[in-house]
Amino acid sequence: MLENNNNHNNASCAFAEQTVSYLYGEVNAVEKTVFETHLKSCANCSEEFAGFGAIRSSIIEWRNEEFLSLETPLMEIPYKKTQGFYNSEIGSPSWFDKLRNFFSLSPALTASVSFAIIAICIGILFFANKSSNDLEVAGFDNKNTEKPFTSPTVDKEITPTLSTTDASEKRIAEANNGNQEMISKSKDGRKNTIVKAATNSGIALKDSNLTANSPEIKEANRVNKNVPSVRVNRIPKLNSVEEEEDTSLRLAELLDDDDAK
Amino acid sequence: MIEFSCKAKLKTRVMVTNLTDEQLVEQAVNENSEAFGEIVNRWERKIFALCFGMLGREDEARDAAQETFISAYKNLKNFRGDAKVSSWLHRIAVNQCLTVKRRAKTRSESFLDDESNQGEKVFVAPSRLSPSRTTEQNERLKIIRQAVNSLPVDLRQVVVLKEFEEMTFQEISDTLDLPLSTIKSRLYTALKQLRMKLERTPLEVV
Repeated sequence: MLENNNNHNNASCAFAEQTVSYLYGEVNAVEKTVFETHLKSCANCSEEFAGFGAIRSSIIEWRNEEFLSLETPLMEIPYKKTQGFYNSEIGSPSWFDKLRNFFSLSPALTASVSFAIIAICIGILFFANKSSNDLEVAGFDNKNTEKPFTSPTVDKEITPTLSTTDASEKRIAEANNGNQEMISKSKDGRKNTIVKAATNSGIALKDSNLTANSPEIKEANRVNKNVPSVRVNRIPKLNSVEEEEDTSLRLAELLDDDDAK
Repeated sequence: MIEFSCKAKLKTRVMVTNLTDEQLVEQAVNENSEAFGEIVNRWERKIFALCFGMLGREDEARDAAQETFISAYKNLKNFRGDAKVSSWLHRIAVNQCLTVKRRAKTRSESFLDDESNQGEKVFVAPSRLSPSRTTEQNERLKIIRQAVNSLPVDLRQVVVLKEFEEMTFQEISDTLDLPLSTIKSRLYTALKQLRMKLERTPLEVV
């Protein structure tokens, strides 16, 4: 039987390809007719073909019973240091890949987005520069906010009028120096204040209690010589000041009297 | 913004779907994750079927298929454009199956040597069959599984590609990069050997 099989193998070699092609239905009409005609005339080929059919049925049964019910496993390709691995199921690229994919979609989109970003940056810079210029025009300077308020100055020399009254002394002191202390109503304080005011402004004045030889007057005169003419702040107009009777002694009169003596 | 990103992702997905396997490999080499993902999506079922047919066990087939794609990704830059991507993947898969089988043999856990313990894990009995028939069927499946696994690798590969992946002869020829006549000749030889093995068994093959 083995020899017969070998002989049959040699003889059926010519139909070996046709046998498997016909078995799996991959023959054209002509080849099918030829092979079917041969099967009718060759018992060995018929038997062999039947055996092959049974084998194929068993393999198909095995596939159906054990493989078709299996789910395709999830192919997880882990990221490693060497190369860019990723999870094929999720496919999560890095933020850089996402950004690159976004800009690779359309050149027109890329250009428009870039232009919009540049325009926004230019607009921010423009408005920031404009607001800083506005602040400079308004004269708003943060550095001067902490200084105390000073009365406005004018470019005009004004000879202050002095009087022995407290109100006048107060005005003189305030006019000459915006930072002077409040005038004391005491006699000593009045005198000191007058001297201080005179000293600061370089003005020698005469007081009822002060003489030309008074050390205070001498000091005032000494200072007066050395101090150039001083710009005096204009006394702010007050209704009460104008309505008062001007009984203050003028400085010039005082100086003349002193010289006469 | 979310809608725009979804549309962008859909557009990218559509773009890779329209590419050939070779174009996808080229993009994957340039670190395009979507491209390699598309390759996996196209071939994962067939590669898994090949591995199952070659090994006969689900767990080993799963490992072999996973290793196939990992190895393919590692060697993307080594892929030559002269062969098809399917041929390249199948070659890797067959090598992985041989590696897994060799490893199992080394651990004395060969599927052929100890079929009795492994058979029950693999076989899934259909509930509609009677217990007696299930046993008979189990035996039949076991026999055919053993017979296919006993074939030489080159013959087994053709049988598995034909029956499990349901490829045509031309597709198998392209995949294995062999002439059409060689493929048919190998299949003929494989069927003959299977018939001889099964005719020796006491149970009748249906």
